[in-house]
Amino acid sequence: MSYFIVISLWAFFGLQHSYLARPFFKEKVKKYLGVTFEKYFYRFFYFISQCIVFYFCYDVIKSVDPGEPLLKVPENYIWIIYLLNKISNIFLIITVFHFDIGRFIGISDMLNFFYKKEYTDKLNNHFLYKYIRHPMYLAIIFTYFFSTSVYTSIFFVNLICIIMYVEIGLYYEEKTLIRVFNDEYIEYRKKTFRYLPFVR
Amino acid sequence: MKDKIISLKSVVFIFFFVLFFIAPHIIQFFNQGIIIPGDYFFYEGNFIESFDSLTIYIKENYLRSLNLIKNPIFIFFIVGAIFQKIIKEI
Repeated sequence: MSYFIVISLWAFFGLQHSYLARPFFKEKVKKYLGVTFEKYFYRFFYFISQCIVFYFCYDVIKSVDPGEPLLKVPENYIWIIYLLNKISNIFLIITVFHFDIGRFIGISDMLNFFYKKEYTDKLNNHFLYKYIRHPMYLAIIFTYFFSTSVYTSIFFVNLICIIMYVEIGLYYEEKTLIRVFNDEYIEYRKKTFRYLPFVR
Repeated sequence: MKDKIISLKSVVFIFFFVLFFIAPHIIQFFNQGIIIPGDYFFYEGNFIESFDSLTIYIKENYLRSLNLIKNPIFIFFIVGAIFQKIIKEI
């Protein structure tokens, strides 16, 4: 029962998240709501919808019966998990600060509409991005992994769902990035690891 | 002339980054001790065990998800965007 709820919620989140970000859906938005809306406002509405949907799904996921613990970190070593949890959180924040957050959440696009500016996409290949193409996904996996000291079967089901979501999401995301940056991204891809160090 | 090793901008960035994103962890540690979020949910969680309890949980909690002002993901990204904008302007 718990597995079914968790897998269904991850599937629901992943599918709608990817579907709403795909170029063909954006074409539909353009058709029904206009080119201006799609260009300057869609990203912000997408961000808001994802905040709500993710918060809702994750809230239910973490309240699902976790079952019996498979592995418990001994009391004496909990501080290590605590420390790794904090390091992962800070790592996640650093990876987020590595890209233009305003652009990511759509605020920059909206401001561009009001200030009559245009935004040109630039490939982000500095600092962590010099080595790993998607460090934020790595940080998400770390953050989740060190978010507990009691490892249950539901924890591992969640972990597998997160990894699957990352893998599927990355497949489509990289397709989009190749479409936007062409050869520049293909060259960049050859020189960098995907999200796990040493795995291309 | 010697190259500047640390610019004013990076000092300001580090200061505010520590203030907003690292200091809260330290304060939490001194106030509450070692708290691991997943453990809290394991020991204190309101567990959903059946479809009925899932329905009840959703009915009681879905409004909370719609409240953007209290949505931690929304707050994090908005604060981050404002913070990044301020740093860029310095």
